[in-house]
Amino acid sequence: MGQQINLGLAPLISTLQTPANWWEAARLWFVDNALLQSQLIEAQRQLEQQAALIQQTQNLKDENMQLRSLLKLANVQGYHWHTAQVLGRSPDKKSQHLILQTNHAVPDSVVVSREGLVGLVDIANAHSAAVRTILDASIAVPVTLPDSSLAALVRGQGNHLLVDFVPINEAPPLDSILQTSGAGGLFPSGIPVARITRITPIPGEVFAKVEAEPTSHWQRERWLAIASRTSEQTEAADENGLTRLSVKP
Amino acid sequence: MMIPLTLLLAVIGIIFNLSFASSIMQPDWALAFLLAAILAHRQHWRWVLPMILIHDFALFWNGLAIFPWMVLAPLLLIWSDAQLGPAVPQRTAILTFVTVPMLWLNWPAEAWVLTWLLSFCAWYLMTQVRLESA
Repeated sequence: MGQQINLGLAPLISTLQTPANWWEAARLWFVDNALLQSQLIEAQRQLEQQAALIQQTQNLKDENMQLRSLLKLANVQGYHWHTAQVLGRSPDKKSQHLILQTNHAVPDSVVVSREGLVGLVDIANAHSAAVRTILDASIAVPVTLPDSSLAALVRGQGNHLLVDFVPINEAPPLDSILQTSGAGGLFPSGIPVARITRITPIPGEVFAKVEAEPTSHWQRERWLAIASRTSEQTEAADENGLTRLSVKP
Repeated sequence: MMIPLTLLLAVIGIIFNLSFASSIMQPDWALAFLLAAILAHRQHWRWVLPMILIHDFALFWNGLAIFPWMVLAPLLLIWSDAQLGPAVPQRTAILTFVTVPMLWLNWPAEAWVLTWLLSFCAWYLMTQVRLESA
Protein backbone atom coordinates (compact mmCIF):
# COMPACT_ATOMS: atom_id res chain seq x y z
CA MET A 1 0.00 0.00 0.00
CA GLY A 2 2.85 2.37 0.87
CA GLN A 3 4.44 1.67 -2.50
CA GLN A 4 1.18 2.56 -4.30
CA ILE A 5 0.87 5.78 -2.29
CA ASN A 6 4.45 6.62 -3.31
CA LEU A 7 3.67 6.00 -6.98
CA GLY A 8 0.52 8.11 -6.65
CA LEU A 9 2.56 10.95 -5.17
CA ALA A 10 5.26 10.72 -7.87
CA PRO A 11 3.62 13.30 -10.23
CA LEU A 12 3.23 15.74 -7.31
CA ILE A 13 6.87 15.24 -6.32
CA SER A 14 7.88 15.86 -9.92
CA THR A 15 5.78 19.06 -9.98
CA LEU A 16 7.32 20.24 -6.71
CA GLN A 17 10.81 19.74 -8.13
CA THR A 18 9.99 21.66 -11.34
CA PRO A 19 11.13 25.10 -10.02
CA ALA A 20 14.44 23.56 -8.91
CA ASN A 21 14.84 22.03 -12.37
CA TRP A 22 14.05 25.40 -14.00
CA TRP A 23 16.64 27.05 -11.76
CA GLU A 24 19.21 24.46 -12.78
CA ALA A 25 18.32 24.91 -16.47
CA ALA A 26 18.61 28.71 -16.16
CA ARG A 27 21.94 28.41 -14.37
CA LEU A 28 23.27 26.16 -17.11
CA TRP A 29 22.01 28.58 -19.78
CA PHE A 30 24.13 31.35 -18.30
CA VAL A 31 27.29 29.27 -18.15
CA ASP A 32 30.16 31.02 -19.94
CA ASN A 33 30.40 30.21 -23.68
CA ALA A 34 34.12 29.60 -23.48
CA LEU A 35 33.56 27.05 -20.78
CA LEU A 36 30.90 25.37 -22.88
CA GLN A 37 33.25 25.31 -25.85
CA SER A 38 36.05 23.71 -23.86
CA GLN A 39 33.57 21.22 -22.44
CA LEU A 40 32.42 20.41 -25.98
CA ILE A 41 35.98 19.80 -27.14
CA GLU A 42 36.61 17.61 -24.12
CA ALA A 43 33.35 15.74 -24.71
CA GLN A 44 34.28 15.14 -28.35
CA ARG A 45 37.65 13.80 -27.28
CA GLN A 46 35.99 11.50 -24.76
CA LEU A 47 33.46 10.41 -27.37
CA GLU A 48 36.25 9.35 -29.69
CA GLN A 49 37.92 7.44 -26.86
CA GLN A 50 34.61 5.80 -25.96
CA ALA A 51 34.00 4.81 -29.59
CA ALA A 52 37.33 3.00 -29.53
CA LEU A 53 36.45 1.40 -26.21
CA ILE A 54 33.05 0.30 -27.51
CA GLN A 55 34.73 -1.35 -30.47
CA GLN A 56 37.18 -3.05 -28.12
CA THR A 57 34.32 -4.14 -25.83
CA GLN A 58 32.40 -5.56 -28.77
CA ASN A 59 35.44 -7.59 -29.81
CA LEU A 60 35.84 -8.86 -26.25
CA LYS A 61 32.11 -9.72 -26.06
CA ASP A 62 32.35 -11.74 -29.26
CA GLU A 63 35.44 -13.49 -27.97
CA ASN A 64 33.73 -14.10 -24.61
CA MET A 65 30.70 -15.62 -26.31
CA GLN A 66 32.94 -17.91 -28.35
CA LEU A 67 34.83 -19.00 -25.22
CA ARG A 68 31.55 -19.59 -23.35
CA SER A 69 30.20 -21.73 -26.14
CA LEU A 70 33.47 -23.69 -26.20
CA LEU A 71 33.35 -24.17 -22.40
CA LYS A 72 29.57 -24.83 -22.48
CA LEU A 73 28.94 -22.17 -19.82
CA ALA A 74 25.48 -20.72 -19.21
CA ASN A 75 24.89 -17.31 -20.69
CA VAL A 76 24.99 -14.66 -17.99
CA GLN A 77 23.82 -11.98 -20.41
CA GLY A 78 20.13 -11.38 -20.77
CA TYR A 79 19.45 -8.11 -18.97
CA HIS A 80 18.17 -4.91 -20.53
CA TRP A 81 19.86 -1.90 -18.94
CA HIS A 82 18.16 1.49 -18.59
CA THR A 83 18.86 4.63 -16.63
CA ALA A 84 16.36 6.20 -14.25
CA GLN A 85 16.26 9.47 -12.37
CA VAL A 86 15.74 9.38 -8.62
CA LEU A 87 12.51 11.27 -7.92
CA GLY A 88 12.17 10.73 -4.20
CA ARG A 89 13.61 8.90 -1.21
CA SER A 90 12.33 7.80 2.14
CA PRO A 91 13.52 10.37 4.69
CA ASP A 92 15.34 7.99 7.03
CA LYS A 93 19.13 8.40 7.28
CA LYS A 94 19.94 5.63 4.80
CA SER A 95 16.93 6.02 2.47
CA GLN A 96 15.58 2.48 2.53
CA HIS A 97 13.08 3.17 -0.25
CA LEU A 98 13.37 5.14 -3.48
CA ILE A 99 10.99 6.45 -6.13
CA LEU A 100 12.42 6.39 -9.65
CA GLN A 101 11.18 8.18 -12.75
CA THR A 102 11.27 5.52 -15.42
CA ASN A 103 9.03 3.87 -17.94
CA HIS A 104 11.12 0.74 -18.34
CA ALA A 105 10.90 -0.83 -14.92
CA VAL A 106 8.98 -3.96 -14.07
CA PRO A 107 8.70 -5.57 -10.62
CA ASP A 108 11.88 -7.42 -9.60
CA SER A 109 14.09 -5.38 -11.92
CA VAL A 110 17.53 -4.93 -10.36
CA VAL A 111 18.61 -1.37 -9.47
CA VAL A 112 22.31 -0.58 -9.54
CA SER A 113 24.45 2.52 -8.97
CA ARG A 114 27.99 3.21 -10.15
CA GLU A 115 29.30 1.60 -6.97
CA GLY A 116 27.15 -1.49 -6.70
CA LEU A 117 23.77 -3.03 -6.00
CA VAL A 118 21.02 -0.72 -4.73
CA GLY A 119 17.92 -2.90 -4.58
CA LEU A 120 14.90 -4.25 -6.39
CA VAL A 121 11.91 -2.61 -8.06
CA ASP A 122 8.96 -3.42 -5.85
CA ILE A 123 6.14 -1.97 -7.90
CA ALA A 124 6.04 0.07 -11.10
CA ASN A 125 3.61 1.95 -13.28
CA ALA A 126 3.99 3.62 -16.66
CA HIS A 127 6.13 6.50 -15.40
CA SER A 128 7.62 5.63 -12.04
CA ALA A 129 8.80 2.78 -9.87
CA ALA A 130 9.10 2.20 -6.13
CA VAL A 131 12.38 0.58 -5.12
CA ARG A 132 13.14 -1.47 -2.03
CA THR A 133 16.87 -1.11 -1.29
CA ILE A 134 19.08 -3.86 0.09
CA LEU A 135 18.88 -2.22 3.54
CA ASP A 136 15.23 -3.25 3.68
CA ALA A 137 14.85 -6.34 5.85
CA SER A 138 12.70 -8.10 3.27
CA ILE A 139 15.50 -8.50 0.72
CA ALA A 140 18.14 -11.21 0.88
CA VAL A 141 20.92 -11.21 -1.70
CA PRO A 142 23.01 -14.33 -2.43
CA VAL A 143 26.66 -13.25 -2.42
CA THR A 144 30.12 -14.65 -2.78
CA LEU A 145 33.70 -13.51 -2.52
CA PRO A 146 35.51 -13.55 -5.88
CA ASP A 147 37.86 -16.53 -6.23
CA SER A 148 36.46 -18.32 -3.21
CA SER A 149 33.84 -20.97 -2.48
CA LEU A 150 31.96 -18.73 -0.05
CA ALA A 151 28.17 -18.76 -0.54
CA ALA A 152 26.50 -16.34 1.85
CA LEU A 153 23.35 -14.28 2.10
CA VAL A 154 23.23 -10.53 2.72
CA ARG A 155 20.19 -9.23 4.60
CA GLY A 156 19.18 -5.64 5.29
CA GLN A 157 18.93 -4.41 8.87
CA GLY A 158 17.69 -0.87 8.33
CA ASN A 159 20.99 0.96 8.64
CA HIS A 160 23.49 -1.82 8.02
CA LEU A 161 23.71 -5.31 6.49
CA LEU A 162 24.14 -8.75 8.02
CA VAL A 163 25.95 -11.51 6.16
CA ASP A 164 24.57 -14.95 7.02
CA PHE A 165 26.17 -18.37 6.62
CA VAL A 166 29.81 -17.29 6.79
CA PRO A 167 31.79 -20.14 8.38
CA ILE A 168 34.26 -18.88 11.00
CA ASN A 169 37.21 -20.58 9.30
CA GLU A 170 36.24 -19.14 5.90
CA ALA A 171 35.45 -15.62 7.09
CA PRO A 172 36.85 -13.09 4.60
CA PRO A 173 39.07 -10.28 5.91
CA LEU A 174 37.62 -6.91 6.90
CA ASP A 175 36.92 -4.49 4.03
CA SER A 176 36.42 -7.38 1.60
CA ILE A 177 33.84 -6.67 -1.08
CA LEU A 178 31.12 -9.28 -1.49
CA GLN A 179 29.56 -9.66 -4.92
CA THR A 180 26.29 -11.11 -6.14
CA SER A 181 26.73 -14.81 -6.85
CA GLY A 182 23.86 -15.05 -9.31
CA ALA A 183 22.27 -17.88 -7.29
CA GLY A 184 18.50 -17.82 -7.46
CA GLY A 185 18.50 -16.10 -10.82
CA LEU A 186 17.18 -12.79 -9.53
CA PHE A 187 20.40 -10.76 -9.41
CA PRO A 188 23.05 -10.85 -12.16
CA SER A 189 26.33 -12.19 -10.85
CA GLY A 190 29.39 -10.03 -10.22
CA ILE A 191 27.75 -6.86 -8.87
CA PRO A 192 29.43 -5.47 -5.71
CA VAL A 193 26.99 -5.59 -2.80
CA ALA A 194 28.62 -5.10 0.58
CA ARG A 195 31.88 -4.22 2.31
CA ILE A 196 32.55 -6.22 5.46
CA THR A 197 32.91 -4.03 8.52
CA ARG A 198 32.88 -6.40 11.48
CA ILE A 199 33.33 -10.13 12.10
CA THR A 200 32.36 -11.55 15.47
CA PRO A 201 32.89 -15.26 16.14
CA ILE A 202 30.09 -16.72 18.27
CA PRO A 203 31.27 -19.46 20.65
CA GLY A 204 29.62 -22.78 19.87
CA GLU A 205 28.25 -21.65 16.52
CA VAL A 206 29.40 -22.72 13.07
CA PHE A 207 28.85 -19.34 11.47
CA ALA A 208 30.30 -15.99 12.48
CA LYS A 209 28.23 -12.86 12.93
CA VAL A 210 29.32 -10.69 10.04
CA GLU A 211 28.22 -7.08 9.62
CA ALA A 212 28.65 -5.10 6.44
CA GLU A 213 27.76 -1.82 4.75
CA PRO A 214 26.49 -1.36 1.20
CA THR A 215 29.16 -0.52 -1.35
CA SER A 216 26.65 1.72 -3.06
CA HIS A 217 25.73 5.16 -1.69
CA TRP A 218 22.38 5.93 -3.25
CA GLN A 219 21.51 8.72 -0.80
CA ARG A 220 23.18 11.26 -3.08
CA GLU A 221 22.84 9.65 -6.51
CA ARG A 222 20.51 11.38 -8.99
CA TRP A 223 20.71 8.65 -11.59
CA LEU A 224 20.62 4.89 -11.21
CA ALA A 225 20.64 1.98 -13.63
CA ILE A 226 17.86 -0.58 -13.89
CA ALA A 227 18.51 -4.08 -15.19
CA SER A 228 15.38 -5.88 -16.34
CA ARG A 229 15.55 -9.54 -17.24
CA THR A 230 14.86 -10.35 -20.86
CA SER A 231 11.74 -12.39 -21.50
CA GLU A 232 13.79 -15.45 -22.52
CA GLN A 233 15.68 -15.37 -19.24
CA THR A 234 12.51 -14.87 -17.24
CA GLU A 235 10.94 -17.86 -18.92
CA ALA A 236 14.09 -19.91 -18.36
CA ALA A 237 14.14 -18.94 -14.68
CA ASP A 238 10.47 -19.86 -14.33
CA GLU A 239 11.00 -23.18 -16.10
CA ASN A 240 13.92 -23.99 -13.83
CA GLY A 241 11.74 -23.25 -10.85
CA LEU A 242 14.01 -20.50 -9.58
CA THR A 243 12.39 -18.67 -6.74
CA ARG A 244 12.93 -15.09 -5.69
CA LEU A 245 14.80 -14.72 -2.45
CA SER A 246 13.20 -11.48 -1.48
CA VAL A 247 10.17 -11.72 0.74
CA LYS A 248 7.45 -9.14 0.48
CA PRO A 249 5.62 -8.50 3.75
CA MET B 1 -11.21 25.44 8.15
CA MET B 2 -8.39 24.22 10.38
CA ILE B 3 -9.00 20.55 9.56
CA PRO B 4 -8.68 20.77 5.74
CA LEU B 5 -5.74 23.17 6.08
CA THR B 6 -3.91 20.80 8.43
CA LEU B 7 -4.60 17.84 6.14
CA LEU B 8 -3.36 19.81 3.13
CA LEU B 9 -0.20 20.82 5.01
CA ALA B 10 0.33 17.17 5.99
CA VAL B 11 0.07 16.00 2.36
CA ILE B 12 2.43 18.75 1.18
CA GLY B 13 4.76 17.82 4.04
CA ILE B 14 4.87 14.16 2.97
CA ILE B 15 5.69 15.23 -0.61
CA PHE B 16 8.43 17.56 0.70
CA ASN B 17 9.88 14.75 2.80
CA LEU B 18 10.00 12.38 -0.17
CA SER B 19 11.29 15.02 -2.62
CA PHE B 20 14.13 16.58 -0.68
CA ALA B 21 15.11 13.82 1.74
CA SER B 22 18.80 13.93 0.88
CA SER B 23 19.07 17.61 -0.08
CA ILE B 24 18.06 19.50 3.04
CA MET B 25 17.57 18.72 6.71
CA GLN B 26 13.85 18.93 7.33
CA PRO B 27 11.36 17.92 9.99
CA ASP B 28 8.64 15.33 9.56
CA TRP B 29 6.17 18.02 8.48
CA ALA B 30 3.08 15.84 8.47
CA LEU B 31 3.75 14.37 11.91
CA ALA B 32 4.42 17.82 13.37
CA PHE B 33 1.16 19.35 12.07
CA LEU B 34 -1.01 16.32 12.88
CA LEU B 35 0.40 15.96 16.37
CA ALA B 36 -0.09 19.67 16.97
CA ALA B 37 -3.72 19.32 15.90
CA ILE B 38 -4.35 16.51 18.40
CA LEU B 39 -2.57 18.40 21.19
CA ALA B 40 -4.61 21.53 20.45
CA HIS B 41 -7.86 19.59 20.65
CA ARG B 42 -7.96 15.90 21.48
CA GLN B 43 -11.27 15.38 19.61
CA HIS B 44 -9.24 15.82 16.40
CA TRP B 45 -8.07 12.20 16.67
CA ARG B 46 -10.91 11.14 14.33
CA TRP B 47 -9.20 12.63 11.27
CA VAL B 48 -5.63 12.77 12.55
CA LEU B 49 -5.24 9.00 13.00
CA PRO B 50 -6.24 8.01 9.42
CA MET B 51 -3.88 10.66 8.07
CA ILE B 52 -1.04 9.38 10.26
CA LEU B 53 -1.67 5.92 8.84
CA ILE B 54 -1.34 7.31 5.31
CA HIS B 55 1.82 9.15 6.45
CA ASP B 56 3.29 5.89 7.75
CA PHE B 57 2.51 4.01 4.57
CA ALA B 58 3.91 6.78 2.35
CA LEU B 59 7.17 7.27 4.26
CA PHE B 60 7.83 3.87 5.86
CA TRP B 61 5.79 1.43 3.72
CA ASN B 62 4.14 0.01 6.81
CA GLY B 63 1.46 1.13 9.22
CA LEU B 64 3.35 0.42 12.42
CA ALA B 65 5.89 3.23 12.43
CA ILE B 66 4.33 6.24 14.19
CA PHE B 67 0.67 5.18 14.14
CA PRO B 68 0.70 2.97 17.29
CA TRP B 69 2.28 5.80 19.29
CA MET B 70 -0.14 8.33 17.89
CA VAL B 71 -3.06 6.07 18.89
CA LEU B 72 -1.85 6.32 22.47
CA ALA B 73 -1.70 10.14 22.37
CA PRO B 74 -5.47 10.84 22.76
CA LEU B 75 -5.74 8.14 25.42
CA LEU B 76 -2.85 9.67 27.35
CA LEU B 77 -4.42 13.11 26.93
CA ILE B 78 -7.74 11.89 28.37
CA TRP B 79 -5.96 10.20 31.25
CA SER B 80 -3.63 13.11 32.06
CA ASP B 81 -6.43 15.68 31.74
CA ALA B 82 -8.52 13.65 34.19
CA GLN B 83 -5.66 13.09 36.62
CA LEU B 84 -3.81 16.40 36.44
CA GLY B 85 -6.06 18.74 34.49
CA PRO B 86 -5.28 20.19 31.04
CA ALA B 87 -1.83 21.77 31.14
CA VAL B 88 1.26 22.33 29.05
CA PRO B 89 3.81 20.03 30.80
CA GLN B 90 1.97 16.75 30.24
CA ARG B 91 1.17 17.72 26.66
CA THR B 92 4.84 18.50 26.11
CA ALA B 93 5.70 15.05 27.46
CA ILE B 94 3.17 13.46 25.08
CA LEU B 95 4.66 15.48 22.21
CA THR B 96 8.08 14.03 23.07
CA PHE B 97 6.65 10.53 23.54
CA VAL B 98 5.09 10.47 20.06
CA THR B 99 8.06 11.98 18.22
CA VAL B 100 10.84 9.92 19.86
CA PRO B 101 10.16 6.82 17.67
CA MET B 102 11.54 8.87 14.75
CA LEU B 103 14.98 8.17 16.18
CA TRP B 104 14.38 4.41 16.16
CA LEU B 105 13.17 4.73 12.58
CA ASN B 106 16.64 6.00 11.60
CA TRP B 107 15.70 9.65 11.18
CA PRO B 108 18.56 12.06 11.94
CA ALA B 109 18.46 13.55 15.45
CA GLU B 110 18.35 17.05 13.92
CA ALA B 111 15.16 16.13 12.05
CA TRP B 112 13.63 14.96 15.33
CA VAL B 113 14.52 18.26 17.03
CA LEU B 114 13.06 20.23 14.10
CA THR B 115 9.87 18.14 14.22
CA TRP B 116 9.54 18.71 17.97
CA LEU B 117 9.99 22.48 17.60
CA LEU B 118 7.66 22.74 14.60
CA SER B 119 4.99 20.72 16.37
CA PHE B 120 5.32 22.86 19.50
CA CYS B 121 4.91 26.10 17.49
CA ALA B 122 2.03 24.68 15.42
CA TRP B 123 0.31 23.48 18.59
CA TYR B 124 0.57 27.01 20.06
CA LEU B 125 -0.86 28.58 16.87
CA MET B 126 -3.68 26.05 16.57
CA THR B 127 -4.63 26.58 20.21
CA GLN B 128 -4.74 30.34 19.62
CA VAL B 129 -6.93 29.91 16.53
CA ARG B 130 -9.24 27.58 18.42
CA LEU B 131 -9.56 29.97 21.37
CA GLU B 132 -10.28 32.92 19.06
CA SER B 133 -12.98 31.02 17.18
CA ALA B 134 -14.59 29.71 20.40
